[in-house]
Amino acid sequence: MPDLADIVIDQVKKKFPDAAPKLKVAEIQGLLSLGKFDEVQKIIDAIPDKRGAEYWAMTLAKADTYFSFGKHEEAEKLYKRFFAANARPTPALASFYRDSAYKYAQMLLYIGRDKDALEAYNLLSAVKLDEELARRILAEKAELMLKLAPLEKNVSAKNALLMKADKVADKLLWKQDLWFGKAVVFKAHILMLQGKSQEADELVETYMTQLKTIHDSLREQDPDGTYGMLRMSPMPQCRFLLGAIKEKEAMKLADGGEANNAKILDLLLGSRNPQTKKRKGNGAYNHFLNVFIRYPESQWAGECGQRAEKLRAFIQDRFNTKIRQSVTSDQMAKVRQMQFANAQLAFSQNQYKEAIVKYEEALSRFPEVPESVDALGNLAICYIDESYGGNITPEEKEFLQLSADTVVGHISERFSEKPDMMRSAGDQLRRIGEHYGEMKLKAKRLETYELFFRDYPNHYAAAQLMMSFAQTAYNSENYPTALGYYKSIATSYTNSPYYYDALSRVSQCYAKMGETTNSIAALQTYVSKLAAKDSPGHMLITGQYRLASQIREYGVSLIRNGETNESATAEQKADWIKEGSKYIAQAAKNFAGVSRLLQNPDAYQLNSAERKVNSEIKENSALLYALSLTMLQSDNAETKKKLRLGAIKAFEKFVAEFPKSKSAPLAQLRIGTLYTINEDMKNAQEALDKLAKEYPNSEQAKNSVPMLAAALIEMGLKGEGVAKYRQMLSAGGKYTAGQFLNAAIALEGAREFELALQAYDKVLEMSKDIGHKAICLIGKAKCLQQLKRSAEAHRIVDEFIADKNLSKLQQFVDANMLLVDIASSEAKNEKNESARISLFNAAVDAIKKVRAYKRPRDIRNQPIPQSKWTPAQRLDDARLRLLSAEVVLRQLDAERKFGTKETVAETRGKVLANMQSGMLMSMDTSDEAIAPVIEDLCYKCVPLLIEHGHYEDAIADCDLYLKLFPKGRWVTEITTFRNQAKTELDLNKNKK
Amino acid sequence: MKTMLGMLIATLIAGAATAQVKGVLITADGQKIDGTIRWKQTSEAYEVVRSGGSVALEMTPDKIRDLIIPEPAALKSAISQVKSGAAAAAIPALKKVIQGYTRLKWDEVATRYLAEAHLAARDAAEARKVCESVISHKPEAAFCGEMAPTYWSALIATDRAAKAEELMGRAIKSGDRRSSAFALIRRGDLILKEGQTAEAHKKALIDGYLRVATLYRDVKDAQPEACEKAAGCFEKIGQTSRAETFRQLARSVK
Repeated sequence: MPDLADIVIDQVKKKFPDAAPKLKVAEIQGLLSLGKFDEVQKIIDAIPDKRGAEYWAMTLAKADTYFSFGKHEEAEKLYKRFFAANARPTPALASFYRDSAYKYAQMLLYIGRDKDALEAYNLLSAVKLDEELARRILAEKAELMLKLAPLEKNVSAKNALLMKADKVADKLLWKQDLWFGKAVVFKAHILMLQGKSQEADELVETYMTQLKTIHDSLREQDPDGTYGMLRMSPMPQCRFLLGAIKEKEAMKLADGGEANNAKILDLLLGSRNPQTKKRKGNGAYNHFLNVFIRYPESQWAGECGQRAEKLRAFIQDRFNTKIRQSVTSDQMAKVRQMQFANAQLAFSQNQYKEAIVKYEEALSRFPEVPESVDALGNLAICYIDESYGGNITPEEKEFLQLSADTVVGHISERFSEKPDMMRSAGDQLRRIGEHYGEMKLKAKRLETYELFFRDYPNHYAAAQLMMSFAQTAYNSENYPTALGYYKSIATSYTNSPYYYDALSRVSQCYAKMGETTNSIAALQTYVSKLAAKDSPGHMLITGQYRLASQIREYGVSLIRNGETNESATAEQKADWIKEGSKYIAQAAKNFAGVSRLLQNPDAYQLNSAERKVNSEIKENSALLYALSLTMLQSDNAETKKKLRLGAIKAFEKFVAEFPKSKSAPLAQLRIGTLYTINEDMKNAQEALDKLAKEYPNSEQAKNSVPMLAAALIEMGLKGEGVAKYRQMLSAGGKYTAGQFLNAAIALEGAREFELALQAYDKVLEMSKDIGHKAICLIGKAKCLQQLKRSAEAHRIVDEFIADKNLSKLQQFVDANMLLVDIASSEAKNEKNESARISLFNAAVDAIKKVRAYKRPRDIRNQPIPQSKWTPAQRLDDARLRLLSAEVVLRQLDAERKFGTKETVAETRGKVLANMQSGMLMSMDTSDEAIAPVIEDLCYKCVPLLIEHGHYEDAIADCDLYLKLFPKGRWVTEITTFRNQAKTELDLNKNKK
Repeated sequence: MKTMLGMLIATLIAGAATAQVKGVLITADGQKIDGTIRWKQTSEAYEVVRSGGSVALEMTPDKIRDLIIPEPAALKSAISQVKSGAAAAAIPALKKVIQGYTRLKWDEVATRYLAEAHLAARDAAEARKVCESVISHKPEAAFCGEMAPTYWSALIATDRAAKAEELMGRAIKSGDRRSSAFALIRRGDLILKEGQTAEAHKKALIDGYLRVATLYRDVKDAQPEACEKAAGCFEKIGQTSRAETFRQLARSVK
């Protein structure tokens, strides 16, 4: 496909032959912006006509780029070559020569070579200029001469320069336009520099009418000054000039002691009229004040205001007198408004470069007034948009981004404690944050909001925004970050409407992070705060119920751990069971508390939805209360019996109160189970008969034996439960394959792996269903793995994966994930190096297969490009990549055990290559969806980097972590790692 | 409503035990009193005697809107000495000003330069001590006003960087523009003290030097240092041409 730009350029060349040089330049602009000067030179060298416009246009474009890259000497050489070769430019080159000479002079001014710039202006005499341009050049030359003259040490040279400037100014007095006004300013300035301040004053007075006419004409064209024309008015410049020179003279005299006081006052406030004795009001202070009040739109107004203020203080200090303040707040506001108006105009027209210059200028005059805040917000937007605009060098881009961050930091800090500006400054930060969001720069958006949250905690929108950030992090499963936000709300915004919700979410975050005790403690705080409210309503019921359920779940998990954890000592197990029992007792109390509250339900429900939920909670609480009682432990047999009787009573109460509940059959079965354990066979039989009679179609009635077994195990009577299952397995054909499968799964859960294997085999014998087969093979492999029969487990999984039919099922993923576990744990203990490596490779390959299997596809089964994956898909894939890295990490552990120092270092390098280059540096760290993986990755990578001696990389990773997760889970650890890396780095430097 | 005079306690002059200077005292309700003024430590009040009068009026600081005190002649030359590197020679004159102008405006200026003179003589502990004598009666002088930056330097030099950082943080947010600008520069220095990575140089620019060079142009005496240090950072992150621009800027604002 042809390049569209080339086609357009060709057509323009045909239609407008004069544009050829400019088009040639456009062709090489891309190469120039990349700094490929040699390539550009080759193109230039290929041009046959070395005197033509195209040749020179390209040569000077190269010079301009040299200049922008800071290579001023190279740029100047090319310009000088051009002027030397074209001392008398041909008509074809005339306009190009004119523009180049002017640009050359401006370049020299930019780098502070004013004298050379003055010479450069003379180059323009080689071409004919139109009148407007010629007058402008004359004015610029005169201005430059006036700038150079005071620096000239040689008196005669200085005077000559002033004479020259005067002549130039005279040339401008021939026509009454803007340049006429400038000429008056120049002439007055010349007189002042010659020490003739009286004459300068008179000159300005003489031309005052003409200056006023020019000023009025400009005002007519630009009444409110928004087009910037009023700023060009010579009138305020004249006054500013007079003021500045008189001020300078006065200050010089001030150093000379009190003898000069009268003269100083004349210079600052005007001399006295010999008749009236009144001051004339033409002193420096009066000029400054005049410009400040009467010409608010002029570029000198701001500075004049400051100078007037400075002189007022000086007069007060030196003469022990106060000048009446005559600037009203309205006048001051008008000046401020006008000072920012021009910048605002450029901003609204998207002329950001120009706006930047104007905003910075206005801000240097009015850095901390109400208008400054909006101006700073706009300035930040200018920098941001410019930095992401096209056609800029990487250096320029970096500078603009640094500038944007600088302004954002300033808004955040400087105005956060100013009551009258805090609100708007906070709003500007939010605006900038959202601007980043619109540009899809999520990390920058987050960074900006972090500043907002840090510096504007009392802003009206802070709590709501923090809640929204917390919710986003929670939904992205970035629980540590969400927790940080929720905690901040719970601590700092106790009066906000989000307070209780945040307290509740704190607990949920802890739960998601697996920190159950913290979650329970947070939930207790939430419930106690709610209970302290006058009308806690429905929230108190749900909160209490959640708390009771969570306590119960934790207690159950402790007891299960005590029963099944084979690596723990008997003492540890007993402790867990005891501790678990305590939690269960507490849960029972809490469930009873919920039931008590709901005896008066109207206090806790306002509508039908709440009524419905409360009713469900009431039912569940009664059932869970009874179930909790069944789990209470005691060493004393008599107490145990009593506890069971208490539980039976609770179940009977439940069945009586909720006979239609779908849990009623379960409760009835439990009554039978408990009587069985208490060896009260009569009541047990009655209970089971009632189950069969009242709930004949229930699962419990149909499966009473396996259910009894499951119930016994759940109540902690594992031995009795397993015995029931054994009875079931020996009975054989009485049960279906589905019932055996349930038994197998329950036995596997109870860690009765041998018996579970038998149950799985039974299912495989009885069923031809491929789904059953898949579950059984995976279950068998898991049991074998638990029984440390890894080779058999490995074989089953390999067969599963190789099977054409099975590999099409969802369990293919489970099989491969199991293989990762089996192969890496086999490898961990494999002394033979090559066997070990091949096992780890098998694990890594299995992950690759899972990644390929899970790769998102469209309805035509075509892979969807990564850029279009959903956040959940991105997270899933990132987790698999992390798992792959973790396998290599396990390999590193194996090397530490069996390998040499060299193989350890080599494997560590491999892990780092995998984690650092392969993942951290290639992933989009600003993608919130994969934040949990990035967080884990940083945490795992840093200690390895330190161990590997890559301290600077370690510090960079720590900084990245702290930037991305300021409220993260491992902030303390990462900070410690950072300090460690820093110390090592410093030590290394010292050694060198 | 009480008259101003009613609020004053008139006493007879019992001889000038402490230094008194000529000046104008402006009361809270705008009344100007031209005469000799001195600070009385024992009663924590100003004593003013109208020109030509013999009755001393005593007035607590909350009753005073402003004091107009001419700059002591000796101060200017002492400041010049400190600036030109002859700090030790300026110490006696500065001490005299502090003594003679206690709580009369110029003691704070003199204290700043006295502290600078001590810092120049590598006696940071003494510099801190003199600053703290002002801070004891004017706590905001620790983060506001012209003495503050010198005080932070003294703190950092005496291993109290944490306190200096805390005060600088307050100055950046709520100090006057000059204190804020110098606090930003010092913060940049501390960032670079922590590490010399590219990230650290960028941070020093954003949170320190570049902010002063761009957004504190009105604080003229902070510009040379801010621009020079910004140039150094740009150099370190490979922006040599930008570094040169800032160096030129530093030279032009000196």
